[in-house]
Amino acid sequence: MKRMKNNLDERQEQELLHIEHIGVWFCFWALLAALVIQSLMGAPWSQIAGEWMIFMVLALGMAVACIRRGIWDRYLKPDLKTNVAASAVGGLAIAVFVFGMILRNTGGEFWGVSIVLAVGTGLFTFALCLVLLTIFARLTKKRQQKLDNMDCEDDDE
Amino acid sequence: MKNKAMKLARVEMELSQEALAKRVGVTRQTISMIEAGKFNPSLRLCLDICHALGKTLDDLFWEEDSQ
Repeated sequence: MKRMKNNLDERQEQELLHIEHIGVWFCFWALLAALVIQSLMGAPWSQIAGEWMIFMVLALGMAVACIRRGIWDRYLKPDLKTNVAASAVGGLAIAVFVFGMILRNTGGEFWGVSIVLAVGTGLFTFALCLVLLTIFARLTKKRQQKLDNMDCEDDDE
Repeated sequence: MKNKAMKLARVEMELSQEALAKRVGVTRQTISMIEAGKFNPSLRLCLDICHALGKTLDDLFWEEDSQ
């Protein structure tokens, strides 16, 4: 298939990429906020299923694309300390979310049970995030090494 | 840092920013921003500008005190 001619020069291309970058991240966080707020307001699963699927496809697609290129993050490093901190943030966020959901569904009657369930879910999320981040970090490092070696082979030719 | 060498070379050839932009295949604003030091062009674009102005990379883009 013939590619369409690009009308932009390299400066405009960089600026467009920057605009698209802001747009994608705005959509990502706005979609997440919409999902959380709708869930807390008691929206049925059928109402949020579409948004949830788009969010997951976006998140997974970006993760896979980054791993394939050996890219982790601009500021964070793929080490255990950072992964523990990121997982703790994820676990805490889910614990607060679950606590809010249970309180809303029970009308604030079962505080003790709500706290136990929230802490349990938070700990499970922490462990799940840590395992996934550790696997993704290992895959990214492996990919980086492979790409580095490919560059070396090109230099030898 | 402003690229005075590039601006001088362009003026010496009696080219407007618009004319140089046309020769190189970019917008006038891009040329203006390179001269003002507000945009770092790729090596490809630097070479195209050098060819259009009949100068070398050293003439237009080397900065003695950049360190």
